[in-house]
Amino acid sequence: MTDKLREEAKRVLREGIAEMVIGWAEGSAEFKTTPFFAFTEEDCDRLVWNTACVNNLAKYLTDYPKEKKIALCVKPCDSASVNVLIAENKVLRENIYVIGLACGGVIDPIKAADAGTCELSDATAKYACLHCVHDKPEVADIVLGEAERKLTPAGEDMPPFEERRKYWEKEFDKCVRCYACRQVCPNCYCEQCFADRTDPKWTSRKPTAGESWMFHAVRVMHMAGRCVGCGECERVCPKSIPVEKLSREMAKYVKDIYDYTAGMGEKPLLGTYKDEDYDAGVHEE
Amino acid sequence: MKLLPKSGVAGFIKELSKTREVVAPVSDGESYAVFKSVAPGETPIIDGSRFILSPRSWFMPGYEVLFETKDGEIVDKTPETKAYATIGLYLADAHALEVFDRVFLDGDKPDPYYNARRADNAIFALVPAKKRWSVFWGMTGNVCDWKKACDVVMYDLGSEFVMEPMTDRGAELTKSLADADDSKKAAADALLARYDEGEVDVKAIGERLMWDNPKWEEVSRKCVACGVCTYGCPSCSCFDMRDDLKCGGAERYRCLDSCQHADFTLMGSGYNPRPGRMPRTRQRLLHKFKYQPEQFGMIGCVGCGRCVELCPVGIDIRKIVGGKETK
Repeated sequence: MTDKLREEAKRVLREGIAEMVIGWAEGSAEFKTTPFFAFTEEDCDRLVWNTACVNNLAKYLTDYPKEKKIALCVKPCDSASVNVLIAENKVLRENIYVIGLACGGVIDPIKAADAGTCELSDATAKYACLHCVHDKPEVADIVLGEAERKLTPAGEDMPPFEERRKYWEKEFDKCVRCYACRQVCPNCYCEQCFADRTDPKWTSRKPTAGESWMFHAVRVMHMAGRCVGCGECERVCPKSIPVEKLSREMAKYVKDIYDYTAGMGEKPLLGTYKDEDYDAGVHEE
Repeated sequence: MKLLPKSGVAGFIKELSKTREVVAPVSDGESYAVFKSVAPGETPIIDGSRFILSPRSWFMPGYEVLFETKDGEIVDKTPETKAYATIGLYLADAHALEVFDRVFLDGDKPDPYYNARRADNAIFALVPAKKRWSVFWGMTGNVCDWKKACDVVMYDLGSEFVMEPMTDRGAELTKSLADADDSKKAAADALLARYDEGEVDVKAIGERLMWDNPKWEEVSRKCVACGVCTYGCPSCSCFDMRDDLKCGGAERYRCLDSCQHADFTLMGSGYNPRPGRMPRTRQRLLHKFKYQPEQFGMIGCVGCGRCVELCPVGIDIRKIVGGKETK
């Protein structure tokens, strides 16, 4: 698979389809890879594809001007992120060459280090992979390989309604407000985040459960219909707060109410407004 | 040297907690282990079975009120000095406290908040049996010297700990334990030797990490500026002070800050001397490997490897410092 990926990357550069290929390269340990930017055919020999390719590389697209021609390696979930960026006009479809890779789940490097193995299993998998809803890359110019999904899908993990306040109070109390969840999110691309604004001050930097609640609640609202569930936010959290649970719950509401799945449509959720849409609290009789 | 069988750890901690408040890494089952006061019945994670976050979160909490105002009067919130015992931090973390001491205690105005937790704190530092893949203690200093930062060094030999008291306080706290024989002592030394691999050449590192090294651009390209490296670090000491209104008054608090954030160096005028990720990545490395050696005579990084493991994009400080990515 890695060979096919390298061949394709080389072809892309040789034929001038893109100026650079963003993919993964070997990291410091067998269960760790690192994002890699290939500019020459020689560089392409460092690209790899395996179950440790955990990063959602769509994050890097918004670092560059829209005009730049970029080839991007994506897993199905990352591809959905690319689709969100296209729908929101942050990147131009014609300037992005998407190399899709069939994926049966990836490992969480820290879990794998704890377990001492990089074999993909329910115990070492990135948690979001147990909730995966993406079968194939939504946007791709080419799809490489085939994958079989062997992971056991996790069921409902949001605590029952009555216990949620207590549960999230405990979780948000851990938050140190490093905002790593926001930084690593491919679809969190605001030039200035509301949390960094001092005037008006939407939320205090104080890392108490209440203030952190404000930050996470606003973030999940901003991600409604935009979060594709790649789970990067949850993976990077230095306090292992399961922030993705909130987004997953939100995605469920969006699906139920508007029949919309993030990253699957041509338009963003807000662009699909219809007069008969349900709008609780606004026109309720 | 003394011996503490693993089955006796709970009893030892119970005994210790009669005279001191015990602080150790605990986990609620799902998350990484964090340092906090051990409640009765709680089992600290000191066997290396789980990723342990740095003890910084206890010595320098993410939210600490410095003072409050109430009805126009200032209410001091300096914590009382108590007797503590911190168990299960790595030997490298104990050395990181020496870096903290330079920052917070040197000079004529020592920090009373930090000092309250540091002044009477017996440090039981751990040398884990299993060396995690990310650990590089030996690359940042002479590991044997770090023992001086501890009261007791605990060597994990699998089924028991060899306890080496380094201070009178440490000897007093471990005197009830059985003595270790020579073979155990040799095993303990051999274990420590495994951590003492790598070279330390501050001058060579300094030359590699030149301010205008063109490689910085390449090193920082994949950085997403999440700052997890600094939040996970045991020796990063940057903080922010802010004021907030509250019912009937106001409070001034201290919270963590990170040089990886855009607003860290943002000035009131709108000018930012470190506008992009490249200067920020460079700052983190240079601060630890160039400025702190000049200031304190010791490298600011202790090689615990937490940033290597936590970094979501796999930036490996060892490769940057060791020259693989900066030469």
